[in-house]
Amino acid sequence: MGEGLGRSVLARHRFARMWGLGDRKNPQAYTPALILLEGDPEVDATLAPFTSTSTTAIPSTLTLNGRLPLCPPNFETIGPSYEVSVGHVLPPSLEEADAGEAAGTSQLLPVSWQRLNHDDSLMDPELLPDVVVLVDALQLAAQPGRLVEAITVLKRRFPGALLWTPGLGGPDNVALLTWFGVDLFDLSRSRQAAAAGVLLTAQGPRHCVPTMGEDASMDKQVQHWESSIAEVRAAMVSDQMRALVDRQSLNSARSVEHLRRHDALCATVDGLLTSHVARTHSFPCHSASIQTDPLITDWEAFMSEAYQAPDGLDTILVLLPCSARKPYRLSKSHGRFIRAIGTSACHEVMVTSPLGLVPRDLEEVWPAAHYDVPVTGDWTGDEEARIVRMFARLVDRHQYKRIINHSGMALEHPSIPIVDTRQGQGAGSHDALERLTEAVRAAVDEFSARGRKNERMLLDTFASVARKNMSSDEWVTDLKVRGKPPRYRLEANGKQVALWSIDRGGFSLSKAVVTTLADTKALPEVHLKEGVTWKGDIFGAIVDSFDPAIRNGADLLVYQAGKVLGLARAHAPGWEWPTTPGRLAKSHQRL
Amino acid sequence: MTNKKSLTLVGDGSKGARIHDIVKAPANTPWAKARQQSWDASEPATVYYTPETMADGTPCSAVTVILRTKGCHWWWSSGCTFCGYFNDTRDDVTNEDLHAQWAYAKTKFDDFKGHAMVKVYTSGSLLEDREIPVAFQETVLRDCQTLGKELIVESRCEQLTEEKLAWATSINTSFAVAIGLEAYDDEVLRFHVNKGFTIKSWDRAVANLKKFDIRVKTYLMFKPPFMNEADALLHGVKWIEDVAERSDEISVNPMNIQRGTIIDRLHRHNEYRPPWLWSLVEMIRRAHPTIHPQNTGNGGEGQVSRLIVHPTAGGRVRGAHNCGACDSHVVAAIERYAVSGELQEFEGLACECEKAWAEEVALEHALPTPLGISKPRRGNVLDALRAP
Repeated sequence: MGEGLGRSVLARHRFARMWGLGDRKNPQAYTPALILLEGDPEVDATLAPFTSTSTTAIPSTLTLNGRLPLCPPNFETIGPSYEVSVGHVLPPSLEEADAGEAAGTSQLLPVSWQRLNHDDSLMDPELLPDVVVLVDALQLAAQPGRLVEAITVLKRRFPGALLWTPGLGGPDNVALLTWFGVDLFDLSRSRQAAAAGVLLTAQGPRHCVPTMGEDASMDKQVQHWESSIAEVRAAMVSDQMRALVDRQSLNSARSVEHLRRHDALCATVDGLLTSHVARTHSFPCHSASIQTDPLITDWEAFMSEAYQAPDGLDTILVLLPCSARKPYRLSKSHGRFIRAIGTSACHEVMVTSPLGLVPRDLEEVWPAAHYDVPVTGDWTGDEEARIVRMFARLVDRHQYKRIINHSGMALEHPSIPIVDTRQGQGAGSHDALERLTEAVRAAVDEFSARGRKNERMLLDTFASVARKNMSSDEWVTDLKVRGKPPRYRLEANGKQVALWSIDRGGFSLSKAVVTTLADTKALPEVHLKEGVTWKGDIFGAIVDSFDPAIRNGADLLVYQAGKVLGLARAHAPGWEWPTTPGRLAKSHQRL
Repeated sequence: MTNKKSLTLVGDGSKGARIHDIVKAPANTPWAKARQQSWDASEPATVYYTPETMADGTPCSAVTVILRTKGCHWWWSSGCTFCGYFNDTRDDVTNEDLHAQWAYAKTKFDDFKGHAMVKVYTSGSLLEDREIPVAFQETVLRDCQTLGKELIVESRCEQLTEEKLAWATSINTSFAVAIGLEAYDDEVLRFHVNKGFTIKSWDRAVANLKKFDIRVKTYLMFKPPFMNEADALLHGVKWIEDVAERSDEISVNPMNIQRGTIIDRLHRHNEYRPPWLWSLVEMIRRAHPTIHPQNTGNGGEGQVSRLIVHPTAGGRVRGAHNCGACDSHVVAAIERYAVSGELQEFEGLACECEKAWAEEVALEHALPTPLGISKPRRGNVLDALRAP
């Protein structure tokens, strides 16, 4: 057993993380990082903080040694140093068989598909490895869905461990594998490329260009690694991993396959996505593969199964096109639509891609306020199918009597009349807007729909946001809205209970509302161990139990011994709890 | 994580099957059953002749008779991981059938006239009474003695008792026994090969054979299932060194993909690639000083044993192969070495793919990848290097 590996998460996005290795106040190295093998060229230890060797015995023994002082508590000596038997490994296609001889177990944990299938010791809650090695990752990559399943299972079982998939990574898939949750890489594919006289670049393998002075030497191969790792770290810090991964997945058919399967798998994982992001965060939806992103699936599922229009507003549905600017209402086009509609009695819903439908009352929340999609005026089959599905569910789950379609997309309903106000014209054309005005006026008159006052509209919006990002909107019901846009205050009996934060597209909750939130079970709960004193932030060591569906950025109710103590804000999604080192949630309010 | 009541991270937590069960499964498939029943039990599986070398080094011609039998008794209860002999057997072969097959072979080759050597293979052990009726064993031993042919038979270790060998040598005074040892390593015999005996069995059998002055031919397997190229090379050389002093002949069989075997299943799932021909060349180069300490070639002074490597399906994707451009030259050189025992056979052999092979072996030594990192060796090099 080694002395342990100091590590803390510096940036995270779903399963992707950038770890700081060593002293968390002064990390010596960062992930994604390299592991050097015998025969590799010299690479700076800050980029390659580990070396690895294997014995020639059958089965072999694996060692992993730190090249920097990475061991807590003093971070004075070079380390850690691990050693473990790899054990006999059967190929993944023989999953029904068990070699009958598990690999060793230590802080360095070798696993294979066979071990995942047959070794129940991996379920031991005391097993908390520092580094996990998926020794048959290459073979799993050749089996449909197995690689991402194995990686995902390992990440969720050992969230505090770094993961290495030997022989799999290269500059052309380091972002993709980081996205899946792989932290450590080796130069083996680059060495194979060098042996074949080929450069392995961020865009995949290619022949050298002599006129550019290129060659396939390992020095050049390492330069491509450095560049790719830099791209990943930059994307991690700027929350642009998905866009990078989308681009990189196109390097090979297998990578596209892995990403699609990963998307499908992640759609079933609770506690993976983010509930709030910073106002500056953008969500580029430039590639077709974004259609399968779990965030989109999640949005569709919410809109189709849980979304409720503001109370009493589901008589007249007005479908509008989206706008490039978010939130939509700040765009010029939506300014015209809003003026043309001229009443707050209609439920306005935007038709868009890739989110499908976005109601006006949720236009300021993540991801509706952050996505950016190229507009061509044409819908793909996937986009159209999603919109049609979501439209059908929205109408089925509400009591609309009239649908006014200004979106431009042809939509049908068997029983509710749909008024097409576009009639082939542009959404902002004078005639189309006139038709929109007329259709709304006619519907309002026909159904005696009543407009809402400004405070009612705001409360409807806040309640809708509460239903989206919290488990209950009961705490909003009787509040008063004070202040000037966009910084509204929500008050109860003259006392502020929340602020609307445009910086995070959500509420900033005050101490006064904690008990109400607890009574209405409005937030995910974290229960601290009895006997510990909650002083600073929330770390795994003090957590007794937690809601596994916690999303990154979500407000949490903190309990101890059945008593609510206050609020915290999640810094790590549920899958990382409780064994990921470092802060899991930041204390926010204490009673 | 998983939606089942599982005690493991993946799957339903059910008890894992043994290798044994996996090995047996293909033999019970309808196609295998139908194929077995399609054989004519009165004719051998095949009879052919090849150039060979006598025990004293004299070139000769050898007839190989592969009999249609009930197969190997180890297969009946378990089986070796790579073995595809069940494809050639049927379980109702009688003593009369075997005699008819033998008569067919003798007739076809005119009582083996002009052939100094006869090899009798039974997809099992000729001297195993449960597989081969004693009367037929006696016929083969006696006929070859009478006809003055050098006889080679195959056997597992457990049949080679002093009692059995005393009986056999009382009928035929000059024969050799070929033992499929596969690996001189108990871990490999157990896990990779599922051989059903240990190296101690081989040690004991060889001691018995020596006692009766029976020549020993040892078969070794190159790159058994679940093993990477680097381990195959490193350990293959070591096994040759381990058995050389006690083997008159060492025949290294590079793994090839036989239908219906585990290795076939792995190959179809891209989890196994047959060995590189370069590995065989390297193995021979490294083992050569053990076989020929004085570098004198076959028949030369000081020769410890004879090393034969015959890459079945060599150069094909289901056999040991390289990039496709150099395969025929390398296979020919390996086969020439079996005859000459001279390393000069490999002089001048070169190909671009040798670098890829060397790097693969080096990486497999360094990486914790017991199943290897082998990529397709043919086709577009860029495609082979794309992200897996």
